[in-house]
Amino acid sequence: MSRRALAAFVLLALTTGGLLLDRDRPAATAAVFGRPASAATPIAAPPADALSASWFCPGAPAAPGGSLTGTITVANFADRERTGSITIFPSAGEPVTTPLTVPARKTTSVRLGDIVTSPYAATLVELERGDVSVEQTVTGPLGTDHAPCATTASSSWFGADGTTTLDATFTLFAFNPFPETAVVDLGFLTDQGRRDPQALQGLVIPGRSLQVFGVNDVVLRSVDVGVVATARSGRIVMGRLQRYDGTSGRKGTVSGVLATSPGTEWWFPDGETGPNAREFIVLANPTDSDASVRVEPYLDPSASPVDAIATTVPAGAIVTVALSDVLPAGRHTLIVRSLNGTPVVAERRIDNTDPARTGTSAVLGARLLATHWSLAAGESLATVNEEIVVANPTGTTVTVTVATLGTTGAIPVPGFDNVALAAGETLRVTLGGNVLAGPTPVVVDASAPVVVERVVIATDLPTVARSIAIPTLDG
Amino acid sequence: MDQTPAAPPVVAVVVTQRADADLDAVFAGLAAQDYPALRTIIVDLSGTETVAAHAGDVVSGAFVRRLPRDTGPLAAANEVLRLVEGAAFYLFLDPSTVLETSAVRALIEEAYRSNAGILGPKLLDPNDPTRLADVGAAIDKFAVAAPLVEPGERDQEQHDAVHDVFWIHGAVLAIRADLFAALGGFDTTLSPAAGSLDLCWRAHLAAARVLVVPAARAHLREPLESRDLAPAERLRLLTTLYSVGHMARVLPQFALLSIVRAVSALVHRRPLDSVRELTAWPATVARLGTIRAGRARVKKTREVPDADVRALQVRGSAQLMVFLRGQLAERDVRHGWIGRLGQAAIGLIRGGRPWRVILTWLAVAAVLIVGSRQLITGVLPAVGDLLPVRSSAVTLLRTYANGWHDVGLGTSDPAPTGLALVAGVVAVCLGATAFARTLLVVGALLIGVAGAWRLTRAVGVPRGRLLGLIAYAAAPVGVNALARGSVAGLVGYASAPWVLARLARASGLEPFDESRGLIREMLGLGLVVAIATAFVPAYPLVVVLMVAAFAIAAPFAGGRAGFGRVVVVSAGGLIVGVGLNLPWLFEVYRSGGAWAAIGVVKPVSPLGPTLGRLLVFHSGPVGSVLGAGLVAAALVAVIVSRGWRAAWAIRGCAIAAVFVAIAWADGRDWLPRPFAMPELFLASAAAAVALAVSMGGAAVDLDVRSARLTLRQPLAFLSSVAVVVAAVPMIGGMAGGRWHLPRPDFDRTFTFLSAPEEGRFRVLWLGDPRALPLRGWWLNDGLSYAVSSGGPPEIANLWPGTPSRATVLIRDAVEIAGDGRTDRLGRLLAPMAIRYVVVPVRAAPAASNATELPAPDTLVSSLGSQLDLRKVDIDDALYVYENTAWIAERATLSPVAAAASAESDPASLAGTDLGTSTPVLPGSSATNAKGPLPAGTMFLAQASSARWRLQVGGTSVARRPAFGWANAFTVPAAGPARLSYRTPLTRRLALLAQLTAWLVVVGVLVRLRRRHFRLATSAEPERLAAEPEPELDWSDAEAPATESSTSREAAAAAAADEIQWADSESEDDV
Repeated sequence: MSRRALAAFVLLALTTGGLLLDRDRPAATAAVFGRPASAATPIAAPPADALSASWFCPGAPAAPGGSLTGTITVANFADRERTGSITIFPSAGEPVTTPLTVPARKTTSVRLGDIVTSPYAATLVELERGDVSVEQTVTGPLGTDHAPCATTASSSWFGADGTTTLDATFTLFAFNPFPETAVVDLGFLTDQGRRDPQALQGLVIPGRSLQVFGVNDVVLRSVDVGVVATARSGRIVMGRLQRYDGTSGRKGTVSGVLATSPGTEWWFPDGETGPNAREFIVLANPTDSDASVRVEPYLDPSASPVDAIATTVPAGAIVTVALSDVLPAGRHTLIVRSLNGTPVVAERRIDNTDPARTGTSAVLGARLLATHWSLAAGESLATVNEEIVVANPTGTTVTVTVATLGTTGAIPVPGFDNVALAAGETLRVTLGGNVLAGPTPVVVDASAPVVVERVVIATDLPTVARSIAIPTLDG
Repeated sequence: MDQTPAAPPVVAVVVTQRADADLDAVFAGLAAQDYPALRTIIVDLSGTETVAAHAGDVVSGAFVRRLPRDTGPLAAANEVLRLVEGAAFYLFLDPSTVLETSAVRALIEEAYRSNAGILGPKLLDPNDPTRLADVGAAIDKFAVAAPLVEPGERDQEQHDAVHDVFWIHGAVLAIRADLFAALGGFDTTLSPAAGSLDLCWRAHLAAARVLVVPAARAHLREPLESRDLAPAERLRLLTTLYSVGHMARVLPQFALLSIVRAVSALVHRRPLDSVRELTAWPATVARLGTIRAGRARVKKTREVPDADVRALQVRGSAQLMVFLRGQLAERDVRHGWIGRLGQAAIGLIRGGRPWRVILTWLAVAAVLIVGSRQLITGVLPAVGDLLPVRSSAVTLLRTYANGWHDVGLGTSDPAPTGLALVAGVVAVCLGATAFARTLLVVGALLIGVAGAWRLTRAVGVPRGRLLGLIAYAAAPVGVNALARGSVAGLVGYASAPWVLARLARASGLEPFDESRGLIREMLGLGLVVAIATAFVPAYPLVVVLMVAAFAIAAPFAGGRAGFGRVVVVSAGGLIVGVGLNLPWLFEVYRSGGAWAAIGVVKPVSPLGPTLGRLLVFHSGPVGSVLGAGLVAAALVAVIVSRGWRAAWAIRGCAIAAVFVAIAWADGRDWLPRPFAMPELFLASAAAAVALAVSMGGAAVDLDVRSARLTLRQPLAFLSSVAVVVAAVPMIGGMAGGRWHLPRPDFDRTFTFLSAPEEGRFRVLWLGDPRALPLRGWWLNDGLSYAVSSGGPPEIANLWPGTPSRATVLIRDAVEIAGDGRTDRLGRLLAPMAIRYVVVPVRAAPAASNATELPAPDTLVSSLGSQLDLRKVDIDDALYVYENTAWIAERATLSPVAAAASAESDPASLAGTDLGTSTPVLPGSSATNAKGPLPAGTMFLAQASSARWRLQVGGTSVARRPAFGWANAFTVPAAGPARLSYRTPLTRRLALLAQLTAWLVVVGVLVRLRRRHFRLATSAEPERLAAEPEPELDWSDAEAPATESSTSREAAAAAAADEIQWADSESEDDV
């Protein structure tokens, strides 16, 4: 073969080989940057090494002489004081910023009405570095509720449980902590179908402001009112305040942030049914397709097993499952799953009517498992009992430590230091009698991801307040 | 047999105006004629007896007629009408012309044979009888002569056929006596040259033939009188000789031409010529009577219409033709650029059939220019690396020279050499920055194809050169680079053929064996590398790869002969090219972690075109599978070529293969570091393919031509067709007039960013490197960050260099936000004077339909989560955030910020509201500012350096670091202040050395080039004498080659005609 022919052959061979090799091209992948914010929950405490931490408390009463009071509680779990600022955004008036210092291993509370004069106020707490938790507390004649504040804003918000019947007052808060204006569309899922009141479309939420909406004014006398808020531009933090005056049997106060997205799995560590406890799972489907949902109860091991409850949630509709009708009396853990992948919003409402445990509570389920949980606003007094419920939805046994914040750091609750928790089991820790009286920040550490709920029972008011604890993002 | 009785009588007429010794030779020539019936009349105007004496001595029977006064040669010649009767022919002979012995006989014989009216001989050069002086001339419709021979053209019998011409020169002119009488002789009011033209023209109108009889030879004793007629004479001829209808068409054109020529003469500082052009018209009008008489005379003898005569004239403008043929350039080289342009045109067409070359060039230029028309006539969008030039040449030079480079948060690293080069181009364009930018960008395409033509010059064979040119122009590498806004691709396209040509010449291998000296090749290559590297720091790699490809090809291309010289020249060229970019390049190469300063930010996944697209040069929007024709033609060249053509075809293919492989590997992320510059490598591949194709084209004439049909002929033909077909995508791509470059750009979108009254600020750019309108640094795989000062990016952002320690803090801050560890990114960026954070998700505004290059959701959401970033809605292709906490680059800090500036802990910064700071010391310069300054802490958001100086009231103020990386000055009392950066002496010396190096290299190159030119010029006569083939043979339209090497090869090829493809193995001559 001549050298020319050889050269031509080599070139052709290389080209052919290259073309064959090139057929196997890896698919292009997207660039990765930073840590994705959890879409599951707007509440996740920044890690200890965070440069700064911001907490958004969406709205609480702030009128100085009103029957309702709003309080912000900041718990510092770190060994060094945390400095920063607290900015209160009244629903009417200019924001007020004051410096904030939280000593090491201490909590600090701020009554909103002491700083601003306004029916309601949202709060922005900014602190140097992490290892803190912030909650808002609403106290009034109908009861008390503690709820963690949000750590992220979002362009979409969802709520499942709400009522605008005559005995109920449903208030929504749209808090825009950012400089730019947000434009929001507000809609509702009711038992009559979806409603998008024209007056609540294209709502302008100016930067650094709080807007308050009375849902009773736009959704008349509806037992089930879910919320769908979508920001056309900007991001906001949305919260609610639901009050039941007791004229129809329900009495209590429910507050807190909504969910930022529907999901396919929701965990509820603690549920209760019984003669004086009616429990409901409210399922809202804000999507355009029907959701096939199953509610899985996990009872105490001694109880007889029960079947899961299956239901279908039509698109844009709301479905309430009365668990008290199908579950035996007692405490249990619930998992709500979407079987066909259509995400829903799941919220659990419990109406306690026992004179010793009176109060209506509503809790959006947890969608995030974590190894570290905290709570800032609990109390353990003679008339107030705080209970921590830890559920292990994983398939393995985990070791759990429940501790309260003391002057020397986290002090395990006696008997709950490194407790083994089997798969699917639930651990209930009653703080009353075990810890010092007064504000009781709580820390829960687990060897594997768990989910934590707090129940605060006040006998003097009386009140039953429930809330999912605050997970901490891994550092 | 005695022919004397039958020979028609001929009267030779010699008009003498002076008596000198040369007349003896003239008369001797007449006396020596072998024509028996020749009589001589000498019309003497000299007024002396000398002529008669000479004539009497030499020519027996010569009749001498002395006129009492000098009536002029034409009037004197007309004397024959009065003096002679019975003559059949008159032979007018200039007294400086010597006839060869048989000249008269040849003329008269041909007159009868062809029934000619006027005849002329072949006139030979007075200095060299082997060269032609005249064989007649054509004229165009404006009476401008188009001689049939070029100056210095060697007589190789190429004009030795009897041929009709329009104009016989009056030096020797034979005319039938009856015709001469009928025409009324010469028009005595004209100059001799115009008179002979007038006579010939009238003869044509009288249906007489005008012939040149080459068998009749005459030697000139003096240079031939020019055929250039004065404008007035030409106008006179037109008005006299054309019919009214024809005149009405021609004269307006003549008027237009007069204006053009007048302006041209003025431009070339020949005011008298300009005046002559313009006064021709009034002068002609003033002679209306003469013209009228002349027209009457013509009317009497006119036998044919003007249309018949026009058929004898050349079409178009003879002046242009003469110009293109170089005759004007030879004569009018003193006239400046026209002469040089003419010579360039000669170079352009030398070696080929001129109109084919011209048409090909016109087609190539038309495709490039028409395809770029919107970019030329409109605004070149700022897309990709095509950054706008906003600063004046002086500002750019100051930026280059002052020792502080305002990229990122500022650095004392040397400014890029390219900045100075751009400043030079802007200066040449008289400060027209937009024009300079367009010139650089669009000019790169033209420089590239010119380089391809230069690359194939040594090939010589016109077909090969043209195919090489078409191949390079057809490869859509340059336009795809343009479409993607890739400066690297444009630089590669413009430079690749020049570099390849340098290396080819360095090899000294045939046909690139014209000796120019290694030093010159080295410096020339170095200069190209230096300019290219100034814009593309990775460029030296191209040269290295090219040399490597030479080595790879060696076993197939006849061994390593010449490779050593290639290595030497390339090494020298690289040293020169890199050296000319020091000290800037040192800082760029020094940075290992900032590879983006050399290549690009590492992509997150392979991003390059497929191998299939690379093989057809389809790296951008222009291209198609038809481009495979180029590769196919190159491969065919390997197969059908012989000798040096095969060797270079193989080298070309090897080089192309290496560069395509590199581009492919880069696109697949197989290289240690990414370049993402496919066009930079494809340009070299295209140049190499063009070289191979050119060799294939040469082989068609030199190797494939054969008496018998073999497989090689159809292959060669098809490869030529494939090359032309491969150009179709380019032709299709030109439709839009902008090579798919987006029309809108971010530059106009960002006009809102300019707010100088609020203080200098920076813009932080984040996102996919392909979407960013400037070059940046690595943020994460597939993500860049970059900073522009004072608003949208400009040309200085083309060279990000190595990010300084301070600049890296920007990335740290963004990462902190991305990790969710702060929602006060604005505060972290505030001291950096970063007012805007922009995340482009397309390379151009949404309206452009540019490809979407989305940024990670985490990036956008983390920015959206910041409490001090206000989102600004501008365009769907952008996320724009305004930092509400920003501090101006030069500001007096609030007390809180002044206290915070002592800290360097970002946590402290994130937790502190810096309050409101006041911008101070306005001005666009980064390194100099002045103005009133209040007492307090003056902050300068430039990387900390002790060379920053602030003087307040003439007193220097102490400087301290601020925020751990910037500068703060504690101003005790208000006063007029001046801020400056003191350029280190070492930097000034380094710049001086760099400037000197450039001047030395350019100067030496110019000197070497001039010396080469002088040597070549002085050697030209010897070379011509030694050459058996004409330099440029216009008469032989099928001449396959014109250069010496080609001629040699043609001979060799002719001997090898019988070699067939089937037995090529045995005669493989590579």
